Amino acid sequence: MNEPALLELFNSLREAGLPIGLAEYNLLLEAISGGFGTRDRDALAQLCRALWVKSQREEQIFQNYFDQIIIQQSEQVFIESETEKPSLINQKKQITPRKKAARLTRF
Amino acid sequence: MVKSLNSNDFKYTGNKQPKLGETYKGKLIYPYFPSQKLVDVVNLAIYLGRPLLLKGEPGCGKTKLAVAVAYELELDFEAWYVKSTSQAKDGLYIYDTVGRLRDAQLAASGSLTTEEKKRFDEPTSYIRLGPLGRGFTNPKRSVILIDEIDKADIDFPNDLLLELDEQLIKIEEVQENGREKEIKAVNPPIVFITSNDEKDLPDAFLRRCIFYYINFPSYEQIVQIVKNRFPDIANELVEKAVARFIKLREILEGETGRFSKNVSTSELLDWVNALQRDSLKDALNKLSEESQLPYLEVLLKSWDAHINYLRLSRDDE
Repeated sequence: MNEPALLELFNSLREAGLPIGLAEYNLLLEAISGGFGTRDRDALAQLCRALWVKSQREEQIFQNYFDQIIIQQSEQVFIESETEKPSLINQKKQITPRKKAARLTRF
Repeated sequence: MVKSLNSNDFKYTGNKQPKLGETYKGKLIYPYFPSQKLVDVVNLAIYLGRPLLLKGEPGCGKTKLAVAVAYELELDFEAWYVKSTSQAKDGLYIYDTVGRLRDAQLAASGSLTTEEKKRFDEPTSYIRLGPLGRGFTNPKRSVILIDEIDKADIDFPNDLLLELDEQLIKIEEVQENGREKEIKAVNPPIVFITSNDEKDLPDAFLRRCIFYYINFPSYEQIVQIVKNRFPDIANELVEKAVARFIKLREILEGETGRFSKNVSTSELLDWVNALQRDSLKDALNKLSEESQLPYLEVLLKSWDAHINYLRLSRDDE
């Protein structure tokens, strides 16, 4: 998985109490690989919202974390590679593989 | 997850609109103007093969979306209007046990015709499919609307999970090879579910759905809706009526705090219809800022709303 920022967003939302699990995370990746949510930052937010947010209360939590974690420069965040698989680049929030593994074991 | 291979073939655009008075599958349908976001989320639900759960205040177009999608994609349409007494099983099938018992008695006394006898010998002939069941067995892909799911019992959504997930119906009453008869969806239907937030839906159910909150239409969108319903209407009348309608909504919103009781687009359309019976000049006069709204009884359906309106509109002056 090449989306550390998305994983961080996902983990933060879980910690904030959203009822989402690994299945919902994988669903997001599936949708992204199908070309959804890749147009710009707004489209990504909308995609995450559709899959993870189920009430207006959760919406506020989501917006908060999304703004914090997914950086603003949309042109830099979304780079369509030749294989058309979007990659999300966010150097600051890079999570080391070990840390990532530690997070995943919690599911 | 079950997903059809050709799910990419279906792409909703929201651009194909029916003409005035056009019917689709025996139902009168009206133009529908989705936002780009709504179009995107419909395509997402189709792509992932998940039900799309729609929330939003009355009149925002939750229910009408499903048939609009069916119309554009030329798919069959099944609607299931949930009632407080609805059971999940009703949408799948009803087994006509009484009919079978009747036939059993008639068969015992030898008074069944050959045709009726044939029916009696075939236990599956007593299965009456519900909207979901029909959608599942339809060789063509269909659009299914489950309207106002929050009206039913709290267990209702969870009871539906298995069927929606596995696209499989188990008929308890009919045994095949020693097991319950199973009907597998031929073509996974596109499922729309609406909720008015009367009850909270169970988490397990929410997790399976794609969720979208439809905002109440803007001034421009409402004007477009009214003009489409009444193509011959004068621009001036539409603009004035919609402007006052939105102002009325704002007044009532501030008072009740809950949008569920607020006036909605369907009342607006009735109201515009009533206004059109007057001459244009009269109607415009009645809509002028100084006067009280005409035909209030069409817009306001509760005594509280009436009193609030009268009191607050007086405060404004």
